[in-house]
Amino acid sequence: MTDIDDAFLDAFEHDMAELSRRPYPEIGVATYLVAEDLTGERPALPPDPEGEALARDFAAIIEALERRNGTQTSADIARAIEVLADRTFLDVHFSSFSARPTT
Amino acid sequence: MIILPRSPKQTAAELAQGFRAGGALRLLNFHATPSTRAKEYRRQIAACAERYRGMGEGGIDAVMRGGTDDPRPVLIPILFEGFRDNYDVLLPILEEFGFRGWFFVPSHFLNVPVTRQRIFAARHNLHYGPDEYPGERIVLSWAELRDARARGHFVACHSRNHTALFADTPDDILHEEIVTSKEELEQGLGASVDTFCYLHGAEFGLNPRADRMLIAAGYRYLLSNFRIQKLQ
Repeated sequence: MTDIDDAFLDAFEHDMAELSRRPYPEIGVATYLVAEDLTGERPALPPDPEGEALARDFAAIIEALERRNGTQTSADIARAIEVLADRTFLDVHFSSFSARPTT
Repeated sequence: MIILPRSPKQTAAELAQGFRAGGALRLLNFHATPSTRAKEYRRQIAACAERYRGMGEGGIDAVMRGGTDDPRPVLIPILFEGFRDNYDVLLPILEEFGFRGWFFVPSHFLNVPVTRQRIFAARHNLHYGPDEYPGERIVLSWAELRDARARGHFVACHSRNHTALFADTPDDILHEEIVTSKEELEQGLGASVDTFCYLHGAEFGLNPRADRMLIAAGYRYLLSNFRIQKLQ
């Protein structure tokens, strides 16, 4: 990921707004989840470079959004994760497979 | 409306830690899947098949144990709500490319009479767009759900009436949505169900009474907006 300057953040927020305008009830939406073992039985996993990169990008973006817009909401977090997933699942934006909103 | 047990800031920090610790899972969330978008779904799934593999029942246990020997990352298509077009439109596409769908079904929706299914959907935040089955049922039949499971897809409980969780949700509502739904789904499916998800995807910790009820009912996993949590 490039440095998070104003241009990057503008583009990221633009994608957040665009994705939020999609007809969610009938499209496929890419997103990330965290698998979490509350029983404490999960063994320590080996280092995961991809997960590390995702964590770094996500944390930096949330921090930058907070500096720009103030406290983030749960919906902001969800939308930021969607944009990351949209950009990283495939070589093209995942949402490019869906027709864009017309209004 | 995503209600969290902790602040968004703390949640974001926890999620970053989870990604860092190798806990990231890729999902494709679907709800209704009308045939008018079948070509779009097929292009999406075909592109994903070049990079990812599916994961069915039992796969999440392997993920929790630290993964499998297959180097390809996992992609999980989630089919929320139990609409009939999931079975008619999306399921064949998923199977063509080797993916397993995870059906999250509000159990009572499958028992609503055909004449009231559209009304029930409208009253329970089940967004049904283009009506592809005029005069017919819009919901999965139990036979279709059993067939999907028999073909290797995964079935989970999405409450009984598509109900959200709040910190003050009364116990009788919790019982119907958590316990009765499990009984109803297992009876219709003819198999046990161990994974749950609320409308709007509340996570463990928001309502301790609900948490205790989930565990007592025998659920092992809770899917939420940001996590899949192993409970027991």
